[in-house]
Amino acid sequence: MQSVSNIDKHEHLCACPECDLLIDNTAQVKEGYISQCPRCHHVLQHPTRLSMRNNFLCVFVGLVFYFPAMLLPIMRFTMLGNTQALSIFNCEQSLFSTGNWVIGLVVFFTIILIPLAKMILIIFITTRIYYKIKSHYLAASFKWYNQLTKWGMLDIFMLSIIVSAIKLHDDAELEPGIGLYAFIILLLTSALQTQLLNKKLTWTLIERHGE
Amino acid sequence: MENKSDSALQNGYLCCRACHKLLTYDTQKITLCPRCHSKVFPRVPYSLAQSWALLISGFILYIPANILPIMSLNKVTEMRTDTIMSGVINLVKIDMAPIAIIVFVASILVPLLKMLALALILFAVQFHWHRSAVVNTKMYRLVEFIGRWSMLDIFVISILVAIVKFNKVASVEVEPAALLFAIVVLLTMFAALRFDSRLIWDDINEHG
Repeated sequence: MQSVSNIDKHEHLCACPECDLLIDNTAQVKEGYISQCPRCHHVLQHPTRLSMRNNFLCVFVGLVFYFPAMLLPIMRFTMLGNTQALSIFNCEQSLFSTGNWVIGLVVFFTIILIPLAKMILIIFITTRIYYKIKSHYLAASFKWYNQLTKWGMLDIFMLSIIVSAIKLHDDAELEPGIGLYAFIILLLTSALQTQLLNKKLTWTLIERHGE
Repeated sequence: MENKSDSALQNGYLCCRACHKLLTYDTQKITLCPRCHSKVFPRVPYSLAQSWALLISGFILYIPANILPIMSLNKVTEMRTDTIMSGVINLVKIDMAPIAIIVFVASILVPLLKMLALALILFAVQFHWHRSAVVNTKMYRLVEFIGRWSMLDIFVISILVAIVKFNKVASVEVEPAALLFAIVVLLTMFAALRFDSRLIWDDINEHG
């Protein structure tokens, strides 16, 4: 553990994760401002106000609307006289029942599982940090969260709902369902949460409260 | 601001790729990050080779993904089998040009440009064309950001399958290209993920 104590002398230094430039980081970045790498302009810090609390709130609202978004119909369509309602869960079911299980799995992971997993991880991390409960799993959870963010595709699914609605609007009458509104709220809260998350602060707090 | 050629590695530091903590470089043993417990390497091991492998396999699969049909639609009045390109042309025919453009960009332009851009970045790193580092970094960020949007077509197909399945008048079949295309998108996303962007700057770090 010698190397760790050695590092603490250089606490004002940081390396740009994208181009490995060694940067003197003594200046405090104000809330709402960003600090960038002078060489490759990677955003190093982006402090936001009450990052932890706002993250928790966003995710809490998102979790409330998650199950309606997945289970209630996102679209109601009438085709030659019969009306059907379609939810994301139905979508998933029909992919598996028609034997397209690879695409089914891709949809399952990117639309259903990863958004839920991300929210649960954020709830876990923010509550632990807020109540200063020590946990070994904090660092692992946040590492997982960072890995998963790239694979959540709620925003793309929203666009594909619009595209398929337009593709179908000649053949069928379409009506938005309750699930669609819940899905939009879920999408907005998750986008807001990603914006408000202060990764550097979170890692610092995890370092303090982990163990 | 530091000197331009001052990389953390040259000064004997390592930056953890998972949590960005700065550590001292011990050449004798593999460093474990004290904060997030991941192994820290100076650069991601075999980053270039893995990116190339994933990218090339993605490119090979991209060809059948565009030639083979992606889905077929059977209605009472008509039966149609579409490839990615003919789907776009159909959208133009029924006066849906804006949507056609979105689908064209997401499922034809983006995957192709993304693979070309990534190949260019990998070539630049491999053959030390270090003049283009700034452009390459920008391109890499764009590739990382934009890659996931190619999934659009896959999601549209899965919605269509579900809608038509509950309806007895028509049927939609998912054809092999959909699977291939989904794999292409995943492979290229992994290729971008495995690439260590710090490699772009290493020549500049060394030569100043």
